[in-house]
Amino acid sequence: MNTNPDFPFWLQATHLINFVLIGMLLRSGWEILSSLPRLWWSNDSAPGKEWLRFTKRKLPKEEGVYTSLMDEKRLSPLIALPGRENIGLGRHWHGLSVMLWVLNGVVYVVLLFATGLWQRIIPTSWDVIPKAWDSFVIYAGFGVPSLEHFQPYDALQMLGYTFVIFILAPFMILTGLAMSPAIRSRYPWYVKFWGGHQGARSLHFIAMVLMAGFIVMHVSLVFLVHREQNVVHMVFGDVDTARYAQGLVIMIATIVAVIVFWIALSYWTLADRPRAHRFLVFFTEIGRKIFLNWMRPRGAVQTTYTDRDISEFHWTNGLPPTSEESPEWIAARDNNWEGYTITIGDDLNGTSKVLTLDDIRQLPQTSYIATHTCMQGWSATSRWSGVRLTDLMALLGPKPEGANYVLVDSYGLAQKMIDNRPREPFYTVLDLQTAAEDDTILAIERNGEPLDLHLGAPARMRVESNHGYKMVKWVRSIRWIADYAEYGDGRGGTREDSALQALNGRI
Amino acid sequence: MNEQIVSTRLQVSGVHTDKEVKLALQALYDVFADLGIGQATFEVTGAGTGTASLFVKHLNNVTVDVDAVNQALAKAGEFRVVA
Repeated sequence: MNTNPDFPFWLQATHLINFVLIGMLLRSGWEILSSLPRLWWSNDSAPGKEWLRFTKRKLPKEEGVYTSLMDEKRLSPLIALPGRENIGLGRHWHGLSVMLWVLNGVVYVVLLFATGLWQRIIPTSWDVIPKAWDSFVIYAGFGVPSLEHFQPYDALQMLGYTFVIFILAPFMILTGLAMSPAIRSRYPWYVKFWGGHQGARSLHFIAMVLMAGFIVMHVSLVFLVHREQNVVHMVFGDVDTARYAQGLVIMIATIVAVIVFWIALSYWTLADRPRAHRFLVFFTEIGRKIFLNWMRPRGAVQTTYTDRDISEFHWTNGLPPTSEESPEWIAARDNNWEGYTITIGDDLNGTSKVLTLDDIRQLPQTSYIATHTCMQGWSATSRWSGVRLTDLMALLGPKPEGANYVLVDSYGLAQKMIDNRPREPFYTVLDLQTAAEDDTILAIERNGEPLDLHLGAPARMRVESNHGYKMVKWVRSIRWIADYAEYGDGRGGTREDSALQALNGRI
Repeated sequence: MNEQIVSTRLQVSGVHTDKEVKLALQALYDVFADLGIGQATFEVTGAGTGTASLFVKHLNNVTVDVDAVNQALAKAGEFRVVA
């Protein structure tokens, strides 16, 4: 075997790992996109303003009557990871895959520069442009550049690989990060740079299309252009084409094995979704702890987003309580919120205090501009005003000994239970750090007006460092608790229980 | 307040599993905008009649078109509103 210094083992290994992970990323990304198969540039995700959509479903413009969940489409587990309307698990697979993909990419780039092989990929002379054009002309005429063009890559490959590795891949990472509420609430200028949440989402999608297109072309050319050399390079790191047939069998078997692995991941996930949730969140939480948990929102002091950025349209998920769900809430609604109460309590010691809206209005108020993002993908920017959760809970006295979380529940019911049992009140759980953030508030106004019914009137949670599923609407009670495992299905919230989202909603 | 969100409860036969719930909802979501319905929930208790409860939310000036709901459900499986 004549070892080819251009194709060392680490290059073969990182290339194969990248193939596995990019497939997981694409498939889980399609699962996320299928949850809201529309793309916008505008800051309000308003129906009719999409620049691209993958659904024929109508989305009426009437606010507060329709929910975004009715736009969710079903993808086959053969296509998406995991498929079958599982955005929560799709998001976790995306998170795990991207963590490993970035790690693999860092190893690849470090070794690329450490070994000097970067000179084979990154152009160092403007001569690459006319040479690349020559190759392009040959390909456009359905020809194949001669073997001498490849040293080991031809000019067109060098430009393509440089673009994908050093521009497209970082671009995907940067636009993906811009969709994190933790990053947005801490560094709003960064998200605005990308055109807001919808701009970042659309750019991320365009980058995905480019990446998918590159993969199709890249794989095709491997088999169409000097296949014998390509196969022995990739499989054996060899230059001797005598082992081409053996290499081809290994390569095809590997591709088939990887595709089977991708699909198996879907069915493994769907076979026991709570098990997959435990497995995936365990690993993705490592990333959240390292990169996101320390970011504290600064809505009240930031100047990037102003009242001029307020959205005209605001989606909702979950419509207001009805008389069957909550006669108390209906009675208060029909009585101009007279009689509406929120109970703040301490489940550890059994103490509680009942507050009226007037009680809440007497507390110090805060106000800021923030963008609400749903894990489905829609967003809306508003001015939210209300009382910091810390000020509210201080009415009960100091944090009770042993309290590790704050549980908030609603007068409204869950939209869906994981096992389709009768619906239970919507709830969520916040860890102590999140509960103590400046922009974790009980909001009673939006854009200077009392809250709309469909957006949580008369009082709702705002947790700006997290996605919308942590922000309970039509709040009934807020309580110190020891452990969320004792409530609901034990995953820390209605959307965690039913849609298998993560307790930590920072990305 | 004139227009408020209310819910209508329908009993649906043939919906027992989570897969059937999702299939039925996908078919309903295709027509919800035309029917003025914005949210739906299946409750499958498995007790009593063997039917599932379907709760749909809509404005109080909308009357749920059961025939249209049935047409949509029929596209997804052997599902039918029975009460």
